[in-house]
Amino acid sequence: MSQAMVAIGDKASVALRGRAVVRVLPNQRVLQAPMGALSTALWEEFESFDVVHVHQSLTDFGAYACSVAASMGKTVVLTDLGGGSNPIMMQGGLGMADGVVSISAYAHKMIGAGVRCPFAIMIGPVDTESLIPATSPPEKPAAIAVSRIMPHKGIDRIIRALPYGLKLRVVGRVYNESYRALLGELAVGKDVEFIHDASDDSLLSLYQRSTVFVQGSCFTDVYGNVEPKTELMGLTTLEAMSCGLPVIVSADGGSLPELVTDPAFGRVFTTHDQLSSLLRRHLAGLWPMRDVRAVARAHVIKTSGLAEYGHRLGEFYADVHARRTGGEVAHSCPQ
Amino acid sequence: MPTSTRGEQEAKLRILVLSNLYPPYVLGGYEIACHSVTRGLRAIGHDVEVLAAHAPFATPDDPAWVHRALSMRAYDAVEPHTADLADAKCYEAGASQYPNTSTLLSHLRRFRPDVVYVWNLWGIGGLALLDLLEQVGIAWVMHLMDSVPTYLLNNVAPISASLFARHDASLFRRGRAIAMSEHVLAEIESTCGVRFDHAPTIVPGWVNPVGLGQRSHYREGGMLRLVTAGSIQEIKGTRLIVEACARLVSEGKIDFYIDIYGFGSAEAYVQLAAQLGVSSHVRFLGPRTHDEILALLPEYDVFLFPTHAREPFGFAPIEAAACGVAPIITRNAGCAERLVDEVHALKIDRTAQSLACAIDRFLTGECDVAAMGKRAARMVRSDMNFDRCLSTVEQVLSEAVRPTDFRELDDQRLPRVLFAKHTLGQYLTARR
Repeated sequence: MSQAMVAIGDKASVALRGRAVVRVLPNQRVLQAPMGALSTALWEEFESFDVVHVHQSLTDFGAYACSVAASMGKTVVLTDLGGGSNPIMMQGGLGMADGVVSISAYAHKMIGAGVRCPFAIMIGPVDTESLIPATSPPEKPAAIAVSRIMPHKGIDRIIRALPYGLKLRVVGRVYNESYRALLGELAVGKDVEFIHDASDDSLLSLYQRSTVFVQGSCFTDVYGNVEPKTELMGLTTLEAMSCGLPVIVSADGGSLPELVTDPAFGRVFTTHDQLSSLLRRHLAGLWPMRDVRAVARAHVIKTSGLAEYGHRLGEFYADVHARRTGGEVAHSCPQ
Repeated sequence: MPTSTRGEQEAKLRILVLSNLYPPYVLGGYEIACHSVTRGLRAIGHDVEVLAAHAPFATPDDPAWVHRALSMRAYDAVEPHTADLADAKCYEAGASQYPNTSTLLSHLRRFRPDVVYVWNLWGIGGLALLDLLEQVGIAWVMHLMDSVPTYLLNNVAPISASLFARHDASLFRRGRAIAMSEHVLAEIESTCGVRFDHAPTIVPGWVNPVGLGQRSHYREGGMLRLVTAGSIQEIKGTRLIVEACARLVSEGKIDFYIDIYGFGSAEAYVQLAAQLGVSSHVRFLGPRTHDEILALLPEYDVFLFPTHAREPFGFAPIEAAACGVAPIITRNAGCAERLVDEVHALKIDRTAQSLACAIDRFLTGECDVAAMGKRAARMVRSDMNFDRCLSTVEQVLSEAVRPTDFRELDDQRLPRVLFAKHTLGQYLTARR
């Protein structure tokens, strides 16, 4: 199985990621919007492939890419990564798919009504080979929250519940300045460190210097705004578990509760008091009750590690391609 | 011998003719030619059906094999009054109308043609129709009597057009093409970049000489009788004819008259003739049917065709020539590829002076109108004979047929893809 990746950008470029070619095509659309970028060169790019997997399928780009691929008779696999809600795709366009890969059961529920083809719910993937636990755990408890600094990420809820004596590192780029200012106000008098420019390497180090990961994403943010697609798949939660961290996630955080299958290394909070209690218990050394680093990591490797994920995805591609082309269906779809 | 998955070899073809208009709904020569060829193909035994747009009047004489089921979004009396509406209409005219695409799919499923014979697709969402043929792998042949690819591509937002025509308009390259002239092919290439993978076959305009009269006596009574027929408008050269007439009269050359038949707004030209004092030499006689024109032609010596330079061909001067009426034609009109200058016709630059000069050559006898008329009739009746052209068309259609897997037509994904592409094209037209 050979693989290539195509995306749209400001100008043309080509890169090699492992054995996969990544080609960036220049946007040809007058409208300048990241999820609305289009290139007619997709007709050429798709020519030599059997399966086209459109990742941001609910965007304008996704609608165009699906249309082109389906017109060429390709096997079309779709995924919604949360980038849009293109009306053509939402009102029948999903019917162009031969298969759908949803990145969580929650994400699948968002589009499920429009899907009439085989689907797979595949959470991940996570680079478990790079994201590894520290050789020795930190001596002092320290919490970490990793996400874009945006209101629906619910970081304000974490800071409000943070007990005195527990350090919190808030890691992520700022996408909303006024929300960042609010977080600063809430952090006054507490041990909160904001890190907005972490590289991949330093992020690993930050995970390794922490003892618990907290994700507080929400449907309704502190300003009363509703984000219906909050956390289609909590990647940073999986990254933290890959680094051996126990995790605390919000019940209204979209897919987040799906990621926590064992209370030994993951808890779900509903209220401020529950979160506050969990953090206090962690500070006091009462949760987790034992070293769960290996368990958390093993869970992520098994469900979302690159090798396992790639294997399952390849099987899914082969299955839906066989259905389209009338070939032998070798596997039942992992649903 | 064409083959298909119907599992049998058949000497005759199943041909689905696809056209925007179809007689008696007629605006020009394109659909009249379509009608002639369709009848011709049926007459020699092919199983031919027609899928065309609704006519704006009852057509009770339609045979069962003519299906007027397509929606037309062109040639309206009322134009859209906003730019957005105009864009939307152009999209439907050139790129896609889902009901039409769906209707074509239904007819393909039912009729299972060996080949789809495509005529003018403007107004019925032609790009999506061709795209459907490509998606299901059915052979198609496009008969080009005008720059149809240019209309379809250039009137639609490029990103929307690309949904159907591909990034490089290669949609058109995949089918076979019959063209009236090299002229029309050159125009298509220069205006929208379309070239064809298979060299197009040139089938010029034709005449069916059966029952056609021919002029026998020229310049009776010393009078030169000139005629033109078609639409009355600038691009057809109506003004040039009046002005050329005035030039001749001003030089004292008065032994001629010009009869102008056709539809269109003649008032301005009638006024012009009056202003120039040539009303007695130029007569606007109104529209006639095609058959009436054919019957009238042998009463004239010369046919005037000072049409615009992008005239793809022009049936009228060929039909006139077949009747022994010597044509005067614009030098670079499509039909000029067939009529040899000074042998079968006089070719002119598209000016009143050049036209007047050519008429004067017949008036003075420098050019023998009788000899030219007879030569033109002999050549056209032989080389541009309808049966001969039909034979070439039949050969192209037969060669285009390829094995077709009709199961593609039943792919359940197909209607969803067609609908999604139609709506996405609309969306991108409005949000470029």
